[in-house]
Amino acid sequence: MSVEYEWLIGVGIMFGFAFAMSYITYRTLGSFFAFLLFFNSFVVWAELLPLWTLVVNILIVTFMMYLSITSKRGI
Amino acid sequence: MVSNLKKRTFVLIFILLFVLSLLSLFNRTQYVNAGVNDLEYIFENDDIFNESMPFSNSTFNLRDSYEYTQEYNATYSFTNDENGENPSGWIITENGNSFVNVINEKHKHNKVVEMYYDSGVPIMKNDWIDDIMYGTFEWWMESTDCTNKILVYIRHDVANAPISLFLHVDKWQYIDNTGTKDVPNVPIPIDNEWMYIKIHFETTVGAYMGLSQYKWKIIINGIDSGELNLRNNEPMDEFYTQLETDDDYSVFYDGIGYSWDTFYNVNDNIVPIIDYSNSNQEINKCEFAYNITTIEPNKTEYPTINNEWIETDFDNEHIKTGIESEGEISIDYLNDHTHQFGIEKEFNYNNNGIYNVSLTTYMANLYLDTKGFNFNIYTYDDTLLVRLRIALDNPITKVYYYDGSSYVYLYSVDDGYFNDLIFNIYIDSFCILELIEVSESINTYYFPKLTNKIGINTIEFIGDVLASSTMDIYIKSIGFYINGSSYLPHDLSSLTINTNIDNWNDDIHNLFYITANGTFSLSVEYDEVIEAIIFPLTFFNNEMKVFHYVESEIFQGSQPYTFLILTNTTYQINTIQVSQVILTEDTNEYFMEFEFEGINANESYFYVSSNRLYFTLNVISNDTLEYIRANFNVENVYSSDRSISFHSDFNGDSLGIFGLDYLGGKSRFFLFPNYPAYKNVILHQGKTLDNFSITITDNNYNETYGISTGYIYNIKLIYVPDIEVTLLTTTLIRMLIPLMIILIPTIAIYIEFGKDLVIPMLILMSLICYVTNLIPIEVFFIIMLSCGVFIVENYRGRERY
Repeated sequence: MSVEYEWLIGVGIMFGFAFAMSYITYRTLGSFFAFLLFFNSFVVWAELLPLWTLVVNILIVTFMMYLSITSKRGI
Repeated sequence: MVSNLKKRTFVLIFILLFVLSLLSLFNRTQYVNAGVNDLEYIFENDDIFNESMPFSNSTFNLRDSYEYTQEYNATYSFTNDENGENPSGWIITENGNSFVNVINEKHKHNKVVEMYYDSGVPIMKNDWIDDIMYGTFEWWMESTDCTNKILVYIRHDVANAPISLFLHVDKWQYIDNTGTKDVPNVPIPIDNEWMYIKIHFETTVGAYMGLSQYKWKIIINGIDSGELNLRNNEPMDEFYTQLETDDDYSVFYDGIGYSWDTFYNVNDNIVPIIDYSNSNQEINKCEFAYNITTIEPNKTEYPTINNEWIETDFDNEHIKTGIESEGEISIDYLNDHTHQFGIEKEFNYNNNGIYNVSLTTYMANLYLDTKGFNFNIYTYDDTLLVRLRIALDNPITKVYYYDGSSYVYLYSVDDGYFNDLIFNIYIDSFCILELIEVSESINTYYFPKLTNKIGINTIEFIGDVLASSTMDIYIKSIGFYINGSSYLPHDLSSLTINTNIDNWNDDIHNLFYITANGTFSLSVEYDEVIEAIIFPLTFFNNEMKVFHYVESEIFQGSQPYTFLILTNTTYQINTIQVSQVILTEDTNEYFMEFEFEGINANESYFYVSSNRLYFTLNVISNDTLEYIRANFNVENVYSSDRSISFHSDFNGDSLGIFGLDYLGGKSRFFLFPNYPAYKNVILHQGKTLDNFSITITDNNYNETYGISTGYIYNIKLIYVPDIEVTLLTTTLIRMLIPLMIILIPTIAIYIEFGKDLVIPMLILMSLICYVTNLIPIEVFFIIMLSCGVFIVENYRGRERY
């Protein structure tokens, strides 16, 4: 496998683990994104994905938290 | 409940299987089918240096050497004439079996004319275009038998040549208006040895060369005959020479120069033409001069000048010496004593050749008493060859040469004090002294040698005091230059410093300077162990080269103004030898170069200890780029299927950058982590790695941090056929281990106790991984952030539910 496609592995790990953990535990969209952020940190640390993915993820999670807090409904 | 348990168990097993399958899919160890090749840096030396101090101010000027040819620049040098033919431009008469032919070489003069007497008189004459009223006629001449007659006429008509000169029965004679006389003062001619003959003449009232009207003079090997009377007062238009004695003998002529030749200047033919085209720093073409220093300042004893110089006639009570400034010694002569202080250097050079000896002094004498010094040069068997006497009569410096019985006055330097005064003596058949003051030539003087013996063994400086008060002489350099010789003994091309060091201390490194205007080699000998690391630094070029010195290996540097740091922990350094050699190819296939920018190299540096390359960075400036960098020049390592790995440990005060430079490719940079780490970096595939570097710099322009440290070790170039996969394995393993440590207990707790403990378990296991350095703080922070999201999600979930 070429080095150029290692990001696929990173994405796969990130989404796969996030989905699996979210499914096992809370089974909500919010927990999915939280686990996505969790695994994104590892994948970025392993240099499988660039840093900006983590930044985007943090922004998404932050936005979702904001929505969650303000909507009173939860996600 | 059971189905839930089964579902959860199934999920758990799925996760574990997924992880295991990942591991098995990439189940290669890092080094299977891999090899470390082409590069492995192991930092072997165990010396540590913490500070520097100069132990010597000696600088060694290894200069470009050039070679004297055997050609002489003159109106007639016969260079283009055919061997065996008559010289062109000359009227030749060959009576009997005599001949006048150009030959290829005679006693280091190329292309000379040989006049040979055999049963007939050979004649050679040259008619000038115009009558010459005054001028200089000079040439080189040698005879196989100076008892046999040589006639030299400079004339207008055949009879009564104004200048009628003879070399006969081992003496020079001339004919003036009163008869035949001996030429006064000039040296006795010597068989088979070139003589340099110069004739000045004046038939007008123009006082050419200080001559009165109708006077001439002859100067042979620098010895002036004084004014002589012309035989008659006619202008001259011909040079005529013939051999007269009925005997087999030859006379040779070379480098005939006329002052009225527009392309010739007087004295052009004294020194052979210098060939500047070949300026390689070869050992047999070396010149050097060196400055004399002492190591310990302000001593009340005579200076121990590197143990290469021997003191003579020293009176401890009355001479005080000390260092006044770098590279110099001063000699203070005190109060009313006649004594001598001297230094000498032995060379043991036994070859014949042309050489220059120079002495550079700086005199700072504020008193009017007469003092002086002698500068002596001795041949191979310590026969006195040359003696210059420099008498100091503030502010005038008077220069004399010694003729064997008395001192003959040459010149006065009116303002020779407080300036560098160089006495440059060129020694061939006779001596030519060039006085240079403040880098400008004052004048040139000629005087004879005291002996015809060859070689130079000793150069000596002897000062003396004749009266009271103080005299300061700074001896800035004594130089010995070999030109035109085909062989230079090794000791002449090298300079050995015996350091006699008392002040080498443990755990410090010592700095000294080598100024080399070319290629040199350096070897260092210790008392017992010949082993050291030598770090040559070229501060002026802002580079530092490192050459690893193992045992008796010789190191080579090639930059001017090179400084060296010698590391020493327990051994006394005895000898540092610098010699000039040719740098051969392929001696340094991989070598390190150090760079500095904006920092004091003595406070920020690299050093080696315990097989690690340590660095110390002392950041002291704001808003300034400061860094030290080690460049590893690997030269054309093909990058495919290769990675480079290393271990590092940096503290957080500095920024470590690992850089990779490719030929024709984009440079890549990685940061060193601020904790002990191993890093394996895949090289940019399909390129050629030219250089990699480790840069340590201030990580914030706006603050000063003081000293930061760290180290790197085990730099290796690793070959793995499927390197991308191996990298992936490495990074995956690094990531998955802490991930599993965090997740598996969390999942187990979740299965047993439900989701209430998921978040605390995540937090706890993450904290454990962070504390044990399995994850960096950045990852730990993101984990905490995600746990915060869980908490919010959990709170909202409870609200919703």
